[in-house]
Amino acid sequence: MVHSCAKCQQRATVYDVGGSKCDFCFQQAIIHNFKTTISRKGLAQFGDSVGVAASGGYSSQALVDLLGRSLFEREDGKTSRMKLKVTLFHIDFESPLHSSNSNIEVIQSLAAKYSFRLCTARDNHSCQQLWRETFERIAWKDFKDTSDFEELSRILVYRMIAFLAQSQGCKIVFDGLSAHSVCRNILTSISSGNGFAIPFEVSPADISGRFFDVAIHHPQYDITDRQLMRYVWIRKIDFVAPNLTLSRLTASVDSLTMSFLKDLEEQHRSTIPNILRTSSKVAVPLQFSYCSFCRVPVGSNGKLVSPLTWKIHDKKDNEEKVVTRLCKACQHRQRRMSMETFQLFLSSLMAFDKALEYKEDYG
Amino acid sequence: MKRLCSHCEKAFANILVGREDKYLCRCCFYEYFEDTVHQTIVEECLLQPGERVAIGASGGKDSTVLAYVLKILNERYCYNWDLWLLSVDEGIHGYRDDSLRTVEQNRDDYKLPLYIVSYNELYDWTMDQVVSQIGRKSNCTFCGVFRRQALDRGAEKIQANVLATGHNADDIAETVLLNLLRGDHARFSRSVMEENGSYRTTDESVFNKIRRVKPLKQVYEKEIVMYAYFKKLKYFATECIYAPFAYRGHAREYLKSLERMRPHSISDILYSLSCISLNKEESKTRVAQQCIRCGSISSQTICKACQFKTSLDRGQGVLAVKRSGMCSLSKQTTQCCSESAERVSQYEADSNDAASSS
Repeated sequence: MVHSCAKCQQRATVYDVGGSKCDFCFQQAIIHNFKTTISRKGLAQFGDSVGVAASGGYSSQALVDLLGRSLFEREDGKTSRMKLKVTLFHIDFESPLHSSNSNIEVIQSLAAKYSFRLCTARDNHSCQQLWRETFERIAWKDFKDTSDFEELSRILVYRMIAFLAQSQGCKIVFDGLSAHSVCRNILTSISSGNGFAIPFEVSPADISGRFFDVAIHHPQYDITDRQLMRYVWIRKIDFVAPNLTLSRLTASVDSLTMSFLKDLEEQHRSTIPNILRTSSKVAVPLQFSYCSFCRVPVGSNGKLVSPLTWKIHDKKDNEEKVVTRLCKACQHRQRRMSMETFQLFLSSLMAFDKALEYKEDYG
Repeated sequence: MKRLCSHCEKAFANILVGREDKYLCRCCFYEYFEDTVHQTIVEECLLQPGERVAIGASGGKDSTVLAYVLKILNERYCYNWDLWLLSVDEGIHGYRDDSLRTVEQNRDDYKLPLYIVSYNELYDWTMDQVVSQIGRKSNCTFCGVFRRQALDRGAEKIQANVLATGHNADDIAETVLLNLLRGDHARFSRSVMEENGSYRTTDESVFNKIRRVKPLKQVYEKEIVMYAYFKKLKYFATECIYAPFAYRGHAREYLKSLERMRPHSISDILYSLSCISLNKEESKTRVAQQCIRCGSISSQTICKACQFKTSLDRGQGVLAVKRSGMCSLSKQTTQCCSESAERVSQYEADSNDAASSS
């Protein structure tokens, strides 16, 4: 039985929630969704300098392509009304989770196609210094599973992206988080004791101010992984596949949650919209602070989390007392890691945040 | 390799309390478990001295352990609680009849009075009959609503002040995930408000609503199983025969996988619940009113149990769980008010006679 596109009656190739669509109408629907999110949620204004966190995965490659088409293409041949100055940011340090060489090639080709600037972390002294002080010095035996490793990578990467964006004059960064990734983050936040952060996770706009002047938005928060993968396939965009040897089903909380969501979605199609809709009913708290380690908003139903005093060693090996606030997840993380490793991370991250806040160089 | 108990450091440890990463011997584990329950009761003022407490007893591990622990705490701290076992017979052949035998065993072992309420007496329907009409897909919806009202009615009959149920931390965490995954933001909001202690219906004292408490809410299911195992408590361990098809199974599966990786996940979910605040529209509590048919407390003119019963009587049970069917059903239900009000009053008269004679 041949299905027809619900819009143009051509032969349908994509069977989506909104009905069968041909390749062209499917792409138009995705672009329309993308542009509508940016305009309705106020993610960027006319003439803004926007950064894009490009990892080389299918999600961020789709984001770059969508942004490029939104800026340069229109059906009637006129130039688009969206006017943004786009810079791509890529963290190209080597880690067991990914090799940066193949990532940079796929990003460079797409950046060249739309004449976007590409800025890498290796070219930034402060990011290099942070990487050297943290990832290159930690003892891998400290990590009992890949969950902590993935989470620490994410904590570092987001900070470096914010720093790179600030150094290039971008106050807005677009992230390639899809609807599935947002739901995964919501579930992992709840299960790690960070339920307070739900309204910040579900919002496409960054309303937390966690990276000071830089806001990291998620314009693809309404687009599912399946749609993004389909889009990338139709457009023949190169991307780097995740390292499957490290991402076994139960290797980390993130992979467990993602596989659970995808399995559940097979049986109950409305799972992802349900989670997004229910989470959006949670109120944005008026009073909160930030976790000193991961910069997640912390609080408890109107109350602030009690601060903790730590003794950490600065670069000159002088011991000093610092007051920190840790979210529940980081408190558990601190118990799982050695004190030395945790303090190393904490001191470096706090110093980096200070540099980010006051727009100084780090190291 | 044998380890010493983290608490007393004298005996060898028998159990790992995963969420606190402690190895405990049997005696220290009993103390830890009973202290956790007692702390929950005291900190949240769940039970007052001298109250009559109806314990929802299904014969399963949770209710058996709850009855046992409440009895111990009652004797240890002299709270003078008047403990009763309250059991519901849903009429599930091959499941409930066996578990009721276990409840009767508990009655004899712990020397607590037992009162049994059955769906057949209250609603003229057993769960087997309900499932034969509506199939296996939404039967938990019917059973849950009927059981809730049955427990309330049973507690009223024995003139209890409080109804204690054996819901543990795993159950509450599953419910939170279940409501989030299904998009049931009304129930999600209520569970948030309950955890925050802000869920109160208005005019509670006017309707003499019996309080519902969960003394085991801070205790993990694994700890309950180990407690029952070490204490050699007798309980009925078979799952409800209609349960495998429930949506809750998905949330449970995810939670168990998560617990294997991070044992503290369940208590973290409960902690997350206490941190969440709701939008003003979601946090409005419902006004309690009495069902015009059976007199039980409801947020609507006619309670859900009466609506479900009417739908079953008319052979339209499937419509009752569909939103589109509810509009037509609610109109039909109001027409049956007078007939069932007579039968309820007859049931109440019979039950009063039974209670006074016992």
